[in-house]
Amino acid sequence: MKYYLIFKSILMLAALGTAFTMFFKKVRHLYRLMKAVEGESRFQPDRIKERIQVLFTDVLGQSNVRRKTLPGLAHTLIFYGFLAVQPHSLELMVKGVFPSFEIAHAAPFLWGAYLVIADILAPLVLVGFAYALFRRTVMKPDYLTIGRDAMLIILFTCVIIITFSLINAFQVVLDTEYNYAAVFPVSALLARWFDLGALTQTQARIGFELFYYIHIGTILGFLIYIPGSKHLHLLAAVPNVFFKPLEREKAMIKTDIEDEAAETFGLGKVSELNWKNVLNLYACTECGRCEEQCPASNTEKPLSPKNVIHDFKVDLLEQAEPILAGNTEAVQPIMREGSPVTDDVIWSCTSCRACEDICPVNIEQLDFILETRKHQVLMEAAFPPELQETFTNLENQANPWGFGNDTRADWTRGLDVPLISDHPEAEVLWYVGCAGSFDDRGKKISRALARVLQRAGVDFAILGPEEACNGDMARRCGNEYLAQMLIQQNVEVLGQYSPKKILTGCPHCFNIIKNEYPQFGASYPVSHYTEFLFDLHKQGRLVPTGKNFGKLTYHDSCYLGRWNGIYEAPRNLVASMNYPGRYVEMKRHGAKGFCCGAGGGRMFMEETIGKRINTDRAEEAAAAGVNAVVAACPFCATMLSDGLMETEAAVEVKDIAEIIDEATA
Amino acid sequence: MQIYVCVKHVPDTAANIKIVGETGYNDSACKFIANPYDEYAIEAAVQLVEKQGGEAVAVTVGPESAVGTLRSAMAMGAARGILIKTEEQFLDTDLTARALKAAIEADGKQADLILTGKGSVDTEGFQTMYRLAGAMGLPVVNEIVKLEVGGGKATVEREIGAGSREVLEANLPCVLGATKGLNEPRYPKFPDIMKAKKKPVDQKALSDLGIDPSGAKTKLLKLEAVPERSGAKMIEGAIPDQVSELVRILREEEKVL
Repeated sequence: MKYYLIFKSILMLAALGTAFTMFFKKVRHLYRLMKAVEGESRFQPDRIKERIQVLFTDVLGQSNVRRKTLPGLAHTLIFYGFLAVQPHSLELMVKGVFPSFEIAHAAPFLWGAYLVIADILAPLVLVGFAYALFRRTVMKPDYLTIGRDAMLIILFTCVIIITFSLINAFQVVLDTEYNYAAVFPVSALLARWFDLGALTQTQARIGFELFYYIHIGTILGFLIYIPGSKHLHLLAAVPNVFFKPLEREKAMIKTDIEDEAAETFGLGKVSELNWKNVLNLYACTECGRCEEQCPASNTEKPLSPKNVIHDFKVDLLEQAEPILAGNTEAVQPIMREGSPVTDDVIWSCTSCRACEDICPVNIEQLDFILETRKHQVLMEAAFPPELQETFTNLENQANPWGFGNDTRADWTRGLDVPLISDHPEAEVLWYVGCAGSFDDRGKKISRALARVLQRAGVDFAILGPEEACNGDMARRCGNEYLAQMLIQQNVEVLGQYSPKKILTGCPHCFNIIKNEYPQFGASYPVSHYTEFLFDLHKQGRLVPTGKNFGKLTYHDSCYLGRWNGIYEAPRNLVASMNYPGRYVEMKRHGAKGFCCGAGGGRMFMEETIGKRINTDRAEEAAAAGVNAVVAACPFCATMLSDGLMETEAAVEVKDIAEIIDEATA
Repeated sequence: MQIYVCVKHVPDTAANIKIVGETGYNDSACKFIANPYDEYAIEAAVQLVEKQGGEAVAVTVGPESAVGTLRSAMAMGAARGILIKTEEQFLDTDLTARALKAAIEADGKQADLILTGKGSVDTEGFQTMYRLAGAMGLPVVNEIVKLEVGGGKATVEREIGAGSREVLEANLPCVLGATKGLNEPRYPKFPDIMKAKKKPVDQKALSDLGIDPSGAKTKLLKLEAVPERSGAKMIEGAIPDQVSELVRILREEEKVL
C-alpha cells in the first residue's frame, strides 16, 4: 500500500503538472493573442460595482440564459452541478499527491455541508445533459451547432459527473474515520443500489481508485481540451459578461478618418480586432440563439451571426502566429478568397440587433459585421453595386433618392409648417428625415404628424432644405466618410439653432441623433414622436374621439425597440387611440420583434437571396387577422406595405401618426 | 501612355438653379459635380494607365470651384489636374476647345489619347470633343461604348441604333467621347480621396494661354426656367365626348391645333 501511494503520488504529480502546464500554456497563448491584436477599444471598464452585480444576476442568476426556459434550466443545472463538483475534485487531485491532505480537517462542518450539496447537484448535471442530448439528437433545431465538439464536451462532462458519484459511492463503503455516508446522500443511495457494501475493503478500494483515475484523467483531458474548443466559453463567458455594455443604447464606432497616420480603416484583418472583440469570440459557445432570431438567417440568407463569430474566431486562431510575432503585414485579410465571410454574409445584415439582444453572453456581433463593411467600403470600394447611386445621391443631394435637397420642405405645401430659420425660437425642432420629406408614403406620414402636432398646440419648426440625411444609412453601409460628412453638416446646422428639443419622425434619425451625434459634439434632448405624443396624450392634449380601427397590431421598429428600448409608448398610443377596437400582438414582438428588412441600408439594396424579409413579416401580420398593422417608422411602413401587397390579406399598413391623426380629427 | 481627360464641373441634375434677370442665375445652393459622362472617360483613362502604364491627367475649364471636380477625377485615379480658370460657368464651346488644346499643349507632353464625355449635362452642347479634335487636327469618335488601345491605334465601338454597333479604328493620338456602357465608373476608395487632396493642380488663367474670352463665337441671350409640370387632367364621359373635349382643349386652352 505504501509503495502504491508513492507510485500514485508520483503519477498524479506528473499528470497534474503536465495537464495544468498545457492548460496554462494554451490559456496564456489565448490571453497573449487577446493582448496582441492592434484594434483600439474605446471601452472603459467603469462602474465596477454594477458589473459585480451583473456577475450575480447574469452568471450566478443565469438570468440571460434562462430567457429560453427549458434549455436555460438545463444550463443552470449543468452550471451549478459542474461548479459544485470542482472543489471536491480538486481536493481529490491534491490528495492523490499528498494522501494525508484533508480539507475536512480544517472545517469539517462547512466542508461536510458543501459535500452534501455537491453530491446532490452532481447527478442533476446529467438531467441537464439528457435534455441537451435530446435537443441535439431529436429536436435538432437548425440554429444549434451539432458537431463532434459538442458531443465530446457532453461525453467528457458526463464521465466526470458519473465518476464523481461513483467515487463518492465507493468512498461511502470504505472504512474511514469520517462518516461519508452522512455527506453523500445520493452516492450512499447509489452504493446501496449497487450493493457496494458487499464488497471487501480491497475490492472497494480498487473500485474507488479505478473511478478516481477515470475521473481525474477526464478532468485533466477536458482541461487541455477546453481552450481549443468552443467550450472556451467556460473561461471567457464570465469576463465577457463582466465587461458587457451596461447600456442598451449603443453608438457605432467613430473612426478617425482624419488620422493621416492610419493605414487602414474598419476591420480588414483579424489583427485589427480589439481585445474586447477577441473576448467576444472566446466567449461564444455557439448556442445559436442569435441565428434563431436573425432575420437574414430566417430567410435563407448566408448570414448567421453565430457563424460570423465562429469564422472570425477560427481566422484569428489560425493567424495567431504572425499576430503574436507582431508581423501583421503577414496577416491575411478576413474576406480573402475562400473565406466563409463573404460579401453576401456581411451585406445581408439589417443591423436589427436581434443577435446582440438575445446573446446570453453579450457578444456584439454587429461590431464585427459593420466594421467589416466599413473596411470593404473605405479601403476596397467593395459593396453591392446598387449602393453606388445611393451614396452618390447622398453626397450630391443629402438624401438617398437624389431629389433636389432644396425641395425638402415641399411636403408641407398647404400646411402651415414653419422653417426654423423663420421661427428660431420654436420649442421643438422636428427633424423630419429623408423618408418623411421625399418618399410618397413618408410624406403622408409627415403630413399626419404635422396635423397632430398642430392639433396638440405644439410650437414646432422644421429645418427644410438646411436638413441633410442623418447619416445612418451611409454609416451602417460602411461609408463612414460620407456618414461623417452628413453628420457634420447637420451638427453645424443644429449648432446654429441650438434647439431646446429635437423631435424625429423616423427611428433611424432618432437613434443616430440621440446616440451617435454626441460623438460629434452635438448633444440635444431628442425624442421619437411616439414617446413625445404619448406624453401629450397623457397630458390630455390628444384626445381620441372614439374612432374604431378594428383589430390592430404593432410592428416594432428595431431602432426604437432593440436599439433604444422603446416598446411601451407606441403600444400604449395604439391601444389608447383605438379605444373601442382591439389590440393584438404578433407572435414575434417586443425584443423578439422581427425586422421589416430595411435597416442597415438594406432598404437600398436588392434582396435576391432566399425569401424576402418583408414578405416573411407581412405574412405574420396577415396571419394575425388584423385590420391594420401599425408601424412607427417610414421604412417599416414601406416594407410592410410592399410585403402585404404580395399576400391576399386585406391588411392596411398605418403609421402611428396616421392613427392618431384620424383618431383625434 | 499620356492621356488627357477633359472633365467639366456641372450642376447636379437634381439641383434647382434660380434664374436671376435675363442671363443671370443663383447657384449658391447648388451642388456641382463632375459631369457624369466624363466619369466614363476618367474610368477608361485610369484603366488604360493601370494596364499600360503612363499618366492620366484631368483637364477642366471652369471657375475656381471646379478644382472640386478635378479632385473627384484624381480620387478616381487621375495623377494630376489642370484647371483653366474662367469667370463664368458658361463658356463658348469654341473657346473651351481652344483653351483645352492650349492647356494640353502647354503641358509639354505628347498626348497619346484625349478622352471626354459625350457631352455635358448642363449646357448639352455636345461639341467640345469635335472642336478640340478639329483644332488639334486629330481624329475624333464620340459616344464610344468599347475601347481597346494597342499598336498605335484605338479600336472603338459605338451604338448606331437598333442594337447595332459600328467598330472604328483611329490612329493615336485621337479624341474619344465616352458614354454610358463603356465601363462602370469606380467609387473611389477612401485613401484615394485623401491622396487626391494632395495631388498637384496646375491653375492657369485663359489669358495665360493667350486666349481672349471676348472672342466667343456664341453669346448667351436668355435663360428660362423649365415650366413646372402641371398635373394630368382626366377627361371623362363617353368616348365621342372625350374626343371632342380633347380637341377643344388642344385648340382653345393649349392652342396647339
